[in-house]
Amino acid sequence: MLKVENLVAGYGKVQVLHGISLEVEKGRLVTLIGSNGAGKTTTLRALSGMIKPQSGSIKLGGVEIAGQPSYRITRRGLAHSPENRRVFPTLPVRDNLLLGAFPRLTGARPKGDVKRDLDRMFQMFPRLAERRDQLAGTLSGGEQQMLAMARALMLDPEVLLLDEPSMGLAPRLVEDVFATVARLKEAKVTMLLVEQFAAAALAVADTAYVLENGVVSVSGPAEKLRDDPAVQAAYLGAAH
Amino acid sequence: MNILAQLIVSGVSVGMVYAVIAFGYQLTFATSKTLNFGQGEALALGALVGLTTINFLIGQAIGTFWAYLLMLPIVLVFGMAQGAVVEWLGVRQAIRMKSEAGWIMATIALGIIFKNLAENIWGRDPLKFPSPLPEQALQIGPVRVQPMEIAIVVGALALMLAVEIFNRTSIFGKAVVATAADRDAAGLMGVNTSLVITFSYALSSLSAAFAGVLVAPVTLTGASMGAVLGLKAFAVAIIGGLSSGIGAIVGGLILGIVETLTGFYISTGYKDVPGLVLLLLVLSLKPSGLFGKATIKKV
Amino acid sequence: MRRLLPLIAILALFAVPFVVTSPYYLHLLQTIAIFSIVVLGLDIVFGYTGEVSIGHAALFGIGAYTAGVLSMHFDLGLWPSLIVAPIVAAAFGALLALPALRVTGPYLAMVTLAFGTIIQILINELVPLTNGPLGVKFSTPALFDWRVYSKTLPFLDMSMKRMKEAQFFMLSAVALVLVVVVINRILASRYGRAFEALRDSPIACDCMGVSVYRHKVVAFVASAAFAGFAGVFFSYSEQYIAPNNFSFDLSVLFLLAVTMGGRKSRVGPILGAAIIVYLPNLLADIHLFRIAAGAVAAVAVVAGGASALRNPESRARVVVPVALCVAFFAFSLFLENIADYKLAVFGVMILFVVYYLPDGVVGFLKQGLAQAAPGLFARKAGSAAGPAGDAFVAAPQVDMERPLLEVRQVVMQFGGLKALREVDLEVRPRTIHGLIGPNGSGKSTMMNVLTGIYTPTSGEVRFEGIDIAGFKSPRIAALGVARTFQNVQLFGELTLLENVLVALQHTYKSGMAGIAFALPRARADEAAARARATAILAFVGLAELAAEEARNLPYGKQRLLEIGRALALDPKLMLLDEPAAGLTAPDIKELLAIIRKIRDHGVTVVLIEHHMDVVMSLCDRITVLDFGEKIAEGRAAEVQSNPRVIEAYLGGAAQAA
Repeated sequence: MLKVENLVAGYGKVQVLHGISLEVEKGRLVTLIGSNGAGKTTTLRALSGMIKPQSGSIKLGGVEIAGQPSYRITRRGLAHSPENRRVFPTLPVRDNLLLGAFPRLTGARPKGDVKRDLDRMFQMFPRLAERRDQLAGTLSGGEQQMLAMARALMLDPEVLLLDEPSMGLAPRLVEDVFATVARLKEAKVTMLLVEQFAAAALAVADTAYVLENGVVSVSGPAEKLRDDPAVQAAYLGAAH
Repeated sequence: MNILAQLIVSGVSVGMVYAVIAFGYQLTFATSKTLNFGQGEALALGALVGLTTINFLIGQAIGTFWAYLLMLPIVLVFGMAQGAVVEWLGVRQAIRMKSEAGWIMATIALGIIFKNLAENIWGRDPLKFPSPLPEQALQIGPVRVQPMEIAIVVGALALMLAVEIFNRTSIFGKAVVATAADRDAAGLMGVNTSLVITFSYALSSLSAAFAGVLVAPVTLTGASMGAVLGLKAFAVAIIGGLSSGIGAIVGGLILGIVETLTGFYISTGYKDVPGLVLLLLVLSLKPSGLFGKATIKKV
Repeated sequence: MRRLLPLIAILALFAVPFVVTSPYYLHLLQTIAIFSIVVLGLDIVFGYTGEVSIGHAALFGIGAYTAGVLSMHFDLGLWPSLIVAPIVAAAFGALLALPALRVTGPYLAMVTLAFGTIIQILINELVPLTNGPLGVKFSTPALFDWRVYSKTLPFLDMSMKRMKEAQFFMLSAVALVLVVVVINRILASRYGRAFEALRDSPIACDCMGVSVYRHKVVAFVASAAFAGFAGVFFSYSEQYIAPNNFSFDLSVLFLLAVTMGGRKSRVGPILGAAIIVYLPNLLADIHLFRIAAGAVAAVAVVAGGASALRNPESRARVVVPVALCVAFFAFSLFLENIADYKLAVFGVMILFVVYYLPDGVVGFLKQGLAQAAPGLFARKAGSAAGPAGDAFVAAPQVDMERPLLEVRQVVMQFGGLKALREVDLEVRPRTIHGLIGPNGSGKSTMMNVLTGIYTPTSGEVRFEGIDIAGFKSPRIAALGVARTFQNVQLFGELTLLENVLVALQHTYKSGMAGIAFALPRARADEAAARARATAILAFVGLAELAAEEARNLPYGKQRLLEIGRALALDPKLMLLDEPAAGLTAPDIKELLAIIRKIRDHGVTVVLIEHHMDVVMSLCDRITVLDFGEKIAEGRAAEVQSNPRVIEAYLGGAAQAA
């Protein structure tokens, strides 16, 4: 579904990614892990067009999307729930969700049943249903994270990019987030998950890539990487 | 007491004109953190295009009132086009170059060009704009009000209300609000944010052009009619806060009323002074404006 | 040689009135000199601090009218005016800048634009003071009658009128040269460095105790003073002033002059002033205008062609401006009468300059020359490292009995999001205190609260017993709190030495006047600061790179430079935000040694870090944050074995374990 080859990207003159290749197959959950500053978020930003890649190829469903502006990439079906959630604080929860479906509501993507999907989101995240008319800026961190994920899902995406959904959440809420990710996986949503909590990410993912200083150092089936000492050294070393 | 009431009433109508123009500044500032320094010229152009149109329509034996109503959509469409041109020539590239000074200079330059073109087309002398409503003042209680003054207040409120309803109810309006809140995130929703900025400039000039045809019947029309109005609206936008629609109305009313009072009790020559004084005062005491919210910087 | 340069310039300019015999051209040159003073002053604001003023014509007018009022009502002539007018203009400048610069955004432009219009109205209205629309007359003074020497020096023989004109030109020329000298001194001083630094990173500037707000105000006030100074010359040069001399159009012309000539230089504004003084003539005569448009088109074709030949990639970029120049020339041939379209042409010029000549003529030429002869413009001035002093002054005095920093029940709320929930933190003097936690746990928010970037929603932040919650960053920095940044915030266009010098601002004792007159004290300050900066660079191991621009440093070295810069504040408390991020193993080793040495010099350190080995080996005490709450505190070993910490770090680890 999503195939990345030799992606090079960065900010201004600083190059962060030095040629990354990865693949996300349809219906699979792939995770991208690595220590702070390894380039995980930069990878997602380059995929969704928030920054322009310097070189390399990104194919979404076989179509080259590298270098396109983010609104075009989104209209092709790539949803990105960004780092720090980035919900629209001045809009109510419901409007945030509707904006997630913007390409569907404006004819840039097949419309489907937006109303039904909205109800589904409210079922999946009952907290959001309770607060549907509340401004998103007044939500708590955990609720904002739910909203950011639900908003991205409203696109009915081909691929969903999730950037650190656990960031800044209480441990109990982190468990909720991972439970949600697991549910989405069961629903066959194609996902690329960036996480700081490698163990938890490896527990739910099918495939994993470990990033180190802007290159993929290890990759393979998640269950294999779980016990790989190289991964422990590259990443988990941080915690022990 | 009657004089005071009378002055306040005329202040209100002047203030609502300022409010509409200031509202135009807010529209573009929200989406792009830029605004049109040639807004006064957009207003003058709108009024002049309106003048030509209404004279043409009156020449077709249409009554002044209906001619005025028929003229409005033409002026509004013209305003949108003019705003889009300003954004395209003056702002887009400056935003891309991340040049703070660039858009200020470019919109000033476009203002100068538009003004010069207007002078060449319509001449340098002020022109009389036919009034769609009777010019006989109405006696309401102790005060006398010109019907056009009431029309100004109604028209101004209607325009701002229309934009507000559009932003709240339509998905495109929500996209505008989203772009204002977080441009990158709006892009991730599939919103073409540069188009939204162009659109906000179109709406901004539309507001100015509308303000132009609202005031034209009570003043004179000409290429230089907008300069001072545009400036006053700066003061209003800052007094009310660059991010608050209510602020524009309140700021406009404050300035309009203070000006008419100054004009009467001190001297008409000084009636432009309170704008600057209020402006400096508000910036000193509450820099984000009376209704503005302080922004949080990110490190 | 450098010091003689102004004298040579003055002598050369003195010869001009004897060579240019046409009164008309002499007056034109004189106007150029006067406008140059305004434009050079405007460049400080517009070029250096990046703020836009559309009110310089009004400040210029205030200077001119101060001269008028003094002469009409107090019978005071040129000399007293030259002293009073800059002060009056500076006062008005302060009145505008103090409120308008409190907020970032286009506020100064909006306020100065309004100011410009209103001053014009006021001058018209205040008839008793200003004589209103009738204007004020002046007579050019004679300095001394040099015709008594005309027997020996025959070229001094001339009419009284001509002599006055010649003398006044000389006076204006001296004024211009002096202004250039003073501005050069200001820009080479700590003020100039601060102006550059605040554009590169305003936040870092504030956190180094160099208040962005204050420096922008200083720049604007100084610039207003220059405009007022020039205004006096204008009055006596024109011999008649009226309110409409100082219109909005003139303010825009001044801005055009800075941009077109070239920002951030001395030659550029003078060139720009010459262009705008000559512009009305150009726009009055269609033949002249065609010739000029043709010349510009020819230059554009040649320059564009050369650039396209040398660098094929630039072809697309140069095609549009070159085509525009040629089209403009064609348009000028087609145009029959320029007078009506004067303003439109002026507007098109501004647009063209903004988009295709953003660095002005001077910048354009420099760029061309730099391509032709690289190395010609390599930085040399101001970066020479003198003899080294000591990196540290005496160890900071701290009360060892109580915590240096006490954070009590601090809450930081953004809308519904609580980034810090009633956090307590105690940092004891002369320790290294670690602050750790998963991403988004509130560590960086805490840094920003401690340095005044955020004002906490509630709670106390006591530094040496003073509650600093709500203080602005520069004030906190002045109390002795220095920091580094997670995403490096260096002053990229300054050299390493200059980066450190910016933070040494607090060691200077002399003010603007001392700098303008190059007083011994000001020079001593600068020399001492340079010695100190050199020593600090040596301390962080960057001495041999002192003259390099900071943006050219590799990442790891940038982090070390940030630490050096923070040290220059002579802090009692140093906050390091992920100093090891992105560093290679040998770099980290060096970093560890440096941090230990800093502690040994009596500086207390708070360290946010993800590299646990760094934290564990350095820190005396560690505080662990998780989702905005403090979950543990203690020695390294205690924290490491705390089950809550382990859970926080593994997050949702239930599944994994």
